[in-house]
Amino acid sequence: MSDEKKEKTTPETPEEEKVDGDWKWDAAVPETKTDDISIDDLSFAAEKDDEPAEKKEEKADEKSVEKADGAKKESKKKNEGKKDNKKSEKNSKEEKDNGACIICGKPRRNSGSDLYCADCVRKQTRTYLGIPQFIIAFVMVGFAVFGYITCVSNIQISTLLSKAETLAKELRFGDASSAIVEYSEKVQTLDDATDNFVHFFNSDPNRTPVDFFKDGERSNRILFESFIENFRFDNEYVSAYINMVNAQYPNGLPKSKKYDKMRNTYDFCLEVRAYMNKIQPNWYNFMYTDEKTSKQMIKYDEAIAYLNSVKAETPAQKASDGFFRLVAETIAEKDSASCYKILDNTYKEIGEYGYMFDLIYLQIAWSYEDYDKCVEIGDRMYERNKNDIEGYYYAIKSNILQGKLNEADERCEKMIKENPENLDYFSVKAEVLRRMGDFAGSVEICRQGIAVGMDMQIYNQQAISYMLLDDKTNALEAAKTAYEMAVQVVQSNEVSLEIINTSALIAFLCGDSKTYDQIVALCKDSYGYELEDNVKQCIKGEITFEDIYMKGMGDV
Amino acid sequence: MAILYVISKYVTFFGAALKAFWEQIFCRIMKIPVQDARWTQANELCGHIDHDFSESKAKTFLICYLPGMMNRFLAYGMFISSYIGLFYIEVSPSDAIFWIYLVMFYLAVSLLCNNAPLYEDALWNWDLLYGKDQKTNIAVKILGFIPSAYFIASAWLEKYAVSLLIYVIAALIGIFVI
Repeated sequence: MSDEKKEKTTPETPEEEKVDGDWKWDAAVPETKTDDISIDDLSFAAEKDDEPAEKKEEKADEKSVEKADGAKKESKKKNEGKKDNKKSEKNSKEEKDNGACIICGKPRRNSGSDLYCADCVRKQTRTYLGIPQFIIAFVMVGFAVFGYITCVSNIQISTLLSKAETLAKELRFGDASSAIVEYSEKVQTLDDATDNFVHFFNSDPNRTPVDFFKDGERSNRILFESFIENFRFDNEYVSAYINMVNAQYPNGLPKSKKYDKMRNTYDFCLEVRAYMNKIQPNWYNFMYTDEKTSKQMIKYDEAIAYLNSVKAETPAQKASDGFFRLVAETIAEKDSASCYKILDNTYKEIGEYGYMFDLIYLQIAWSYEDYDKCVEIGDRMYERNKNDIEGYYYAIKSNILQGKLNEADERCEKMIKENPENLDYFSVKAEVLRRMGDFAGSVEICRQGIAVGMDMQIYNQQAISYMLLDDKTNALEAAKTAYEMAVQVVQSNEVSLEIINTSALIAFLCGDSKTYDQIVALCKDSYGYELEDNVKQCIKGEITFEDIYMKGMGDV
Repeated sequence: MAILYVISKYVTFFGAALKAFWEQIFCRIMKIPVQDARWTQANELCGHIDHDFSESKAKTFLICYLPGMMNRFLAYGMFISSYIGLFYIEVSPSDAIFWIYLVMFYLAVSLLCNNAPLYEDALWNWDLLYGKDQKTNIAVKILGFIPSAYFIASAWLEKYAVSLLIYVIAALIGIFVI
């Protein structure tokens, strides 16, 4: 190209420009290394020379037409110049300033920075665009539009995913699970929107719904790991985890390191299930019901001898073995020391999975009224999972029963700080304040709790505090609400019966015999249950309300 | 090093084709003569077209800026979306969306690896704005500094195929770190 240009430019270059030395050689002929010219380049030039005669003729015609056009323009300019001498002087000045076209020597275009005449620019700005480039451009634009749409949706959903990940890192596994549920709902919303869009083009009712956006592996991992951190050693959890993994990963868990925890727990659960399936059929032979007391009993020595005969070798087998031994100890009502020994031994044997026994350990400690142990385990459970309130709740209750009210209060504050939406805080804090003698404060914290959410424990605590403030009207109202909720939502017998006892007592003390009779009848008919002894004593006037709720355990 | 450059351009074929396409379009719009439009040749011109230097600062700046901007504009959505989908959300290869994200990621990288002007064009732009004898308005100098420096830096990165390496590293970070 540069050679062609030289051939063209050299003869037509005006003498003035050469003398002045203002010529923009660099602009006209960019510094090109001639060493780099390859045979291909030369052949390209040769190809041009070898153009068919017809084409050459066509080009020659074009040139002649262009020349004629140029001549016309020049003559037009001359005519104009004749008409206006001043204008022509000005034009000639501009010509001197700007020089001529570096290719053909004709006047340059109006722009001061141009080196070419209009004709040369028109020729050289012809583009060499092919259809493939247009196709690529259109495809790219299509992808780009799709990219921006998915970009916006991916940013939206990944914000929720990031939130869940942060919560999991803060050991708030319960909140992380909730965030993942929220994330999945959002993904589903995007899918629904896409489905509606597709429906616009294809309204076939038998069409498979669009399942375009996916939850992805990261959310699965967070969900599974949150489940693992909240794992309790019992049949339900083991089966639930195995089923979850099988449903999500029918071809097995990926071998990546990221899945190590999930895979190890899965293997552990499989082993536990296999061992339990092996033990359970024989285990039922050792269980029987005492006809006199209708109590479940166990042939303790035979059961332990059987467990000794089945050798547990792996951590999973040892965990299952420990579990059966604990069941035997509990049913046989052995002392706390033997239970602790089994638990401590199981903890030691199963290593990283020991935490699965925390709740069992806590319940045993609570049943033996070992409050120091309850506080220790409750703290341990809470440190592992900040949303595992169950353990911490027991720790606070233990503090209350130990009379360590300030310690209990500190734990309450810590709990609400890390679980701002948890309702247990309000009921347990109300109890702490009541035990401290701040009945009004207790009523107020219950009122705040009710504003956050409905909870029967909060109403129960409020009713007790109102009674201690001698506000029987409000006490009865709160007690009735707690009772109605307890009947509706029977979370566990322990909780509902505690509330039922308190409600019955308050109804009696407030003179609402109708509600009292209703509660007593419900207890007998539905649960075959009678009110607690201390409630009966209080009704008889043998002990006071304060004796139960200010000095005693508080659990009725 | 030219071989690396040429390989990077062939690897990012779609972006290179589109960059040359935009360059031709903008040369035509701004009436800058094109000397050589063969953008697939195996030398420094690969992925570019050979056009004349313009004496106009604005034209020089725009011919450096606009073709790359078009590629970047097309690439950003695809890149962010596919990067999040592949490396953060971690869609599974068993899902169709995984393969769509993969194609989008390749196309985005190929576009982003072709967003710089020709190194000579970038230097020419710098010379016009900040050269010794150039009388450039101070406001233009200030406003044009970052983009002009970016032209040179990105052109240099592309010249040695470093831009492609950067996106390969970004993908590896996505796989092993995020």
